[in-house]
Amino acid sequence: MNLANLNASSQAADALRIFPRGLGLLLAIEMIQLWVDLPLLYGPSGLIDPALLQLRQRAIGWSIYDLTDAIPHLQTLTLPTVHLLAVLYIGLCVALVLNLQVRLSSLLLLFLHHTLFIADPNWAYGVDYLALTGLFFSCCFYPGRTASGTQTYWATIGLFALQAQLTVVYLFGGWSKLMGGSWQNGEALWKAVQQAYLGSAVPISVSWGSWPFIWIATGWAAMLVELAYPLAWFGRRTRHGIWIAISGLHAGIALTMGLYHFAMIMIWYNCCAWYIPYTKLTKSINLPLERDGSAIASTNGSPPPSIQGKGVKK
Amino acid sequence: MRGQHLFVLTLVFLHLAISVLNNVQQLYAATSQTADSQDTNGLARLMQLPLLSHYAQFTGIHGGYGFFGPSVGSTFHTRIQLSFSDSEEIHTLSDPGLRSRAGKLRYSSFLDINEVFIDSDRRKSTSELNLAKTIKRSLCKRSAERYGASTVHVSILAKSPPSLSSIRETGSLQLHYIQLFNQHCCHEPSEP
Repeated sequence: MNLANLNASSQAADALRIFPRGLGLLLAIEMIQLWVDLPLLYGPSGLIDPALLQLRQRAIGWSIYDLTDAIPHLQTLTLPTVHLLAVLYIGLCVALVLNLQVRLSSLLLLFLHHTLFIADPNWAYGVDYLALTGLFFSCCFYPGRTASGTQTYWATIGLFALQAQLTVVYLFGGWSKLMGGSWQNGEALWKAVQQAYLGSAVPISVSWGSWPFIWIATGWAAMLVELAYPLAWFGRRTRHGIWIAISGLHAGIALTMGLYHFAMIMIWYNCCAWYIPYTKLTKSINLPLERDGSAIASTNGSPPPSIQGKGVKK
Repeated sequence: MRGQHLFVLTLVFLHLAISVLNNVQQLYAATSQTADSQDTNGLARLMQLPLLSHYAQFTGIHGGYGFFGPSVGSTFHTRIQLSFSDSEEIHTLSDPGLRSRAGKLRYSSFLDINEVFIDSDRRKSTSELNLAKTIKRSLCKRSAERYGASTVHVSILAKSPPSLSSIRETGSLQLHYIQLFNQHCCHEPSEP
């Protein structure tokens, strides 16, 4: 393995090491926010009769209702049980933030997230699927705290998988928009920003509809950014450009539609896929070769034979 | 070592292939006009195989990534009007008492169930329609119990902003809410 590959693998490992920390933090914030509403969403005296909510659950996996049914002495879902599961959820998120038993914590959180939001789809939306994928990647590709040869190579595959998964996400996002004529004439984007359920930081007044070219141009820009996402694989400049454009797209979604949690998750995924793995790599490539060699020597105990004896020039 | 890496790479490509196939199937279902083709196409049957469907769901790749595509659907809102026996005043709530932004957003997503009231093009079973109506009745009844109201009216509204073409043609910037469903229930508060 040459120096550039070693450096790239090490940066990939760094990115996948920090990936679960950010994901855990964002999921913890979401659950803490949701805490006050848990009685209404999942409690026995909630908004809707739990027996009716159960009718909408998926056949795959255990929903929160199945889980409580299966536990002896519980049988029915009570409010303390809901809060206990939420505490467990937040605890596992904190474990991810603190890098404690990351693979195990990710796996348990994956099952718990599936129980709360996927097997029981009543209170779920698109971000929950993407969060689950992130937890799956954390579980499979976390490289460990210390870097060994196998683990860094493992991280290289993990980073490739994360980048490829995001490419699939955006490519199909763009493709599906392209197939609907309403994105091409601006109507879809206009409707999306006008229907922000909870309001937004930058509300778009109805009077903006008098300038349709804004919505046609922005709609096409959104589609093209998503469809051009695979270009991130080709070179530093396109990677940087795509990363900035897609982060801008998500920032726009957050500000105009109020989908902050979704936007933060996607911005974080993109940072870990396309920014963090390449920042230090770019800097270290710009350094003289001798400095790289001494940096490796300081972390690996003894320097590689090819570098030994080549001291830093005075 | 090399064999192990090849094996892991093969698994990664399999994962990506499942993700791609799921999206192709979802996109096909979303753009397909006839209901029968959604059920009978081979890809849908493939993705419903137990192993694939379980794997896709536990890894979060089952949903499809066509967010807001091919078109943007309607958003739904609730209007709850509470009347109390000791007062003539009517209290109107825009949601059933959720306090957090996260909770309100998830409730908003839940309201997509009301699509059965407006989506006549796509096949919707009677059971789905009945479930949506029963859920509204439950929401009404539970709101009455929680607030101790004697009478509750729950309305489901679809937000209808003016389209760009209608703004261009008529110049009207009027935002409409279309009432889709109305549920009324009475509640007798229990004696203290």
